[in-house]
Amino acid sequence: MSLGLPAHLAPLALGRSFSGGLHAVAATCLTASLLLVIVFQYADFNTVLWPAALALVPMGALLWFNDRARSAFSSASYLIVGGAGVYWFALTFYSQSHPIVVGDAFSLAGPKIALLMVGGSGTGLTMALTWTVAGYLVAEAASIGAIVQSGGRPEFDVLTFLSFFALVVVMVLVDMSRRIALRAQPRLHRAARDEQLDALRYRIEVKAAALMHDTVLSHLAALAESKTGGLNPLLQEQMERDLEILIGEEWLSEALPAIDSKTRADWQNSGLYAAIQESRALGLEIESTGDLAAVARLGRESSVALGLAVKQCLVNVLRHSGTTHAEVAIYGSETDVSVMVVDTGRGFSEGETGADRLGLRTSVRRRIEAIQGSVQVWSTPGRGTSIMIRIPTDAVAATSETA
Amino acid sequence: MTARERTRQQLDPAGTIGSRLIAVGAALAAFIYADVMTVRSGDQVAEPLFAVLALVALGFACIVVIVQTSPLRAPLSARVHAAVLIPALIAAGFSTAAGWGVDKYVRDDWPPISLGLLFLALVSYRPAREVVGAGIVSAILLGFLVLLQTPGFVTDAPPVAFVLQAVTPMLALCVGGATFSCIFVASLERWHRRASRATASLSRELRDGIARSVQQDRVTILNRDVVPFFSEVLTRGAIVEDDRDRARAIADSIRRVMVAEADRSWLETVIEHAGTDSIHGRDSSGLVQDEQRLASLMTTDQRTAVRALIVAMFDLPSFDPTSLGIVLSTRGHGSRGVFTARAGSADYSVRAALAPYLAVMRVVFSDLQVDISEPALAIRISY
Repeated sequence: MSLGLPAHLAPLALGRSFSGGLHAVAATCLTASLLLVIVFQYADFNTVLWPAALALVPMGALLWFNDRARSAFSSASYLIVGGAGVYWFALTFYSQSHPIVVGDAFSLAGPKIALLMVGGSGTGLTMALTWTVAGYLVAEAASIGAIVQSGGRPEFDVLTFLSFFALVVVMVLVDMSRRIALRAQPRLHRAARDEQLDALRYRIEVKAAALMHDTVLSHLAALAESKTGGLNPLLQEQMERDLEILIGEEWLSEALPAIDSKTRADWQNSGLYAAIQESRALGLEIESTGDLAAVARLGRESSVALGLAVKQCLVNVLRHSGTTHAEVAIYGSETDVSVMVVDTGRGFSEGETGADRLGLRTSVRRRIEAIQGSVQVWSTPGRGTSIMIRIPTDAVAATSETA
Repeated sequence: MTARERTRQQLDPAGTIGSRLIAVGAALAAFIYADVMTVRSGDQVAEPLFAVLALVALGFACIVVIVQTSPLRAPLSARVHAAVLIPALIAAGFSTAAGWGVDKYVRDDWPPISLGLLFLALVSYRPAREVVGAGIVSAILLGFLVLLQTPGFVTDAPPVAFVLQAVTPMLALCVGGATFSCIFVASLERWHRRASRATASLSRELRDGIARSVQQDRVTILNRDVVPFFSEVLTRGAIVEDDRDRARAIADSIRRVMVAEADRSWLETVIEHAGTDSIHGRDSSGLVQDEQRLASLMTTDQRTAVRALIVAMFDLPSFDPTSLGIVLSTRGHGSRGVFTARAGSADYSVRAALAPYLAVMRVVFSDLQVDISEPALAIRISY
């Protein structure tokens, strides 16, 4: 999904990310200052610079705390400890016999800039600016205090001021950029939701159309081909069932019936459940709906065959449909169990018989026909594919009797 | 389309439009800073030609940033990142060469700050890890260039101190920017995960209602013809001459309804919904030409983007809904779509109003071309 954060989350996320960025800058400045102290101390053992390093350690610790907590308390603590740190750091360097103060290779700005990057608590531009100004003032006051105390003459710190100025500009720009982004987000979010609902409705319609095709249309066709006279008992039974199912119940309702633990255990032991789980592991999103308890009425052999057949259907969805979403819907009646595998992917035309359709023919059709079941496929290019597998519940009994 | 990279631009294209302000600002600041520092420390330039070449190379890098961060050129690729980084590093090299032997102070050399600003410009467009990697490479190179110059510096200090002074600003900007984008991308991803879970549960909740309404549609057709007919035949228990024709006629009418429904694409539905007031019940099918049913090949993301764009177009005050035309056709292995309309107002206002949606489209479609020349608007997509 290419949607940004919704309006109520965006300021918070932006504030947190921005603070994180500032704290990373501060950490870099403190680390660099620490390295500088070490380098200068190492280069000249006559000076006493190591105490400056001691100022940086608590600053780093408070920075870490402030980054985690991001509260008014943590920010204020960082400013207080940081102010003391800057003071101590400046004092250490200025009170040497040969103060290293104007050197090109060194500046006091590191810890001071780290203090600017306090980040602060809360959201919004005003809050962020207030904390930044506070950081700047504390840093300047601490360093000027230290310089004056060590007898030096305070000078305007251009580097720290430029950093302060640049930070304020960036803050204003980030705030402006957020406002620009906010304008379009609601419509994008609404579009995403509408799309989701349309896709859902479409999937249900595909299923409804396939069911209608399977039942009413084929029985109408059978009627149209019948001879005048007595009604074929099989057709009569089917027509009765049509009326019963299509008019009598909510045949598209997806609500899962409340299932007891035995049903759940039966379902989880079924070949169909295994097929769905394995296909999910391959990256397919599968929704299983309908009468899960019906699967338990199948014999072991039928259950395994059904599982393998559905697995092949789902593999086909993954390989050929161009979508990663499929639905497995289960319908149970007294005499049979029907499983429908629906995808709204690419679809194919009847004439198209690639190698993949061989899988459909052998792995699905033959396997199901072997246990007295039937397979019907509806597919239109661009409109998705529905495969209906129907297995009589007494299939195994029938085969063992004939065997 | 290749897999989405973990950049803010690719995860939140509409939100990143605003970041362009920062990118352009940072690129301009990098260039202006370099110019000012070059002029200010003119006495430390031995080879003016190299100083100019350095600015030219840096200017090139800045122009690449300004041009390539345009939402209509999204996504900004690693190649573009290289096209910024390499000229910028060359610029740093020229700058060192320009001051060779006469550079007295490391603090007034512009490359660290200018490079850091360029990294800052790119943080919303490239993965944080890549930006940090580029920062480290640049730090090593800058450090090396400074080490070469240390004998000439007037201040007496350990060489490593000069290196630290030089690379710290650049690394700070680079690391800070990368951390910002890293945390932001993580919160985007977290939200996407949560949102898709929420949508899934919303779908489950609405499912029954939708199912019932779809069933209602079907049952209406069935109740009218099939139920009385089946009941009649079943009661009679026999088929008479007339039944066969009636069965055929009913089957035909059901099939016709199904075909009509199947022929309507989601795109037509979207246009109809977007323009309920403006189209006045006109048949929206004329607006969309899609004989090969290519609209259905778009992914969910692509449909979402197109949906939002269409709604936004209908909301433009000067938009003429009857002028909208969408043609989808195959091209090579993929598909191609052309949206045309009369927008009627000034280019820039149309451009500004549609920019966020076009930015999203630019990321979800493999190709997007936009041509806005008042009053016509043409958008071409490939997928």
